[in-house]
Amino acid sequence: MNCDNYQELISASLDGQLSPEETRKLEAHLETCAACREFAQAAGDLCRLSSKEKRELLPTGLERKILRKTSRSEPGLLAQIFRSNYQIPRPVVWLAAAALLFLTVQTLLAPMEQTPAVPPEVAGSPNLAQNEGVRTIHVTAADLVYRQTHDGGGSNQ
Amino acid sequence: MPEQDGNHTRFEAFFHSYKHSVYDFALRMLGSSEAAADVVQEVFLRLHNTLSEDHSEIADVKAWLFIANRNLCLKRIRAKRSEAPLEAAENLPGEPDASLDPDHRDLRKAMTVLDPGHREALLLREYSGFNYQEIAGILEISLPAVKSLLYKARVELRDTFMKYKAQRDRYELR
Repeated sequence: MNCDNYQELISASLDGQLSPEETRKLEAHLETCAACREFAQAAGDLCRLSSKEKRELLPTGLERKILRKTSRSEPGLLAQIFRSNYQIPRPVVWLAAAALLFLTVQTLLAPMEQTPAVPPEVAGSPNLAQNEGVRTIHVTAADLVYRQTHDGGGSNQ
Repeated sequence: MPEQDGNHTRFEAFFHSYKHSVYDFALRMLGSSEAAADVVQEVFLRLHNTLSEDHSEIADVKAWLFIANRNLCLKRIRAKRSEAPLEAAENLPGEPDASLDPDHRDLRKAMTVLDPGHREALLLREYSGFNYQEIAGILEISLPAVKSLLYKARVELRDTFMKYKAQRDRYELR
């Protein structure tokens, strides 16, 4: 073993990493080697010096910033209601959702139901007055516009 | 919701346990409080995201934090090197606190100019208190390599410290 190997042992000894056998070998070497004794002294001094070093603390402003960034975002109104102590019973929630869905569908389908299916022979012929044989008359918005334009907003049939 | 609350509580507990040691490491690695603040923020945001999204447990949070911290610090050092290869800007952290006693001031100066690999090994061992096994895990090297790395780091630190001390002694004699 040369001095580099012994100095590596000196470094490990500062961290309490030497076996009894290695400690014995190192002690024997240090008795005869001034350079290694010097290294042991300097490395030991620096180790003690760094152990006394004041640790840097996280600045308070930075701590607040990190906590703000990682904190949950402000919950919305619905989330606040659902998170509040008042618990809405589940069946009520489901019932309300079903009613809402029904109303939405009803609203969307309503215009389609109001528009009657126009028979082919009537559709496309706005001049309903000449169709005397027709007993059932389907009036569409287009017909009303036609009557108003040609009869000067005449009377109802 | 309760799971999210639990993750956030866990995050806060980890944050308060390790905030100072993570910051101390980043500051000594980078030598700039501004750069250290950026890195520390990033480290804890990553931890927060990992705890929120990943259902797998982090086995050792302290080691996880220091691996992320170290990787981000090295990334910054490498980026600075490529930006200004001639200046080695990571080694210019500004003057250490004037209120420190001369030996501590020289030690701080010496630490900041060490090779980043040596610096991180010494910081992990002497400032953050990790043992050899833990350092091997963080740096992804073998135990004998940790032993050798710390020895080389101490040699470099001793030489650099002695140089600063000699400069100071010469200055005081004048």
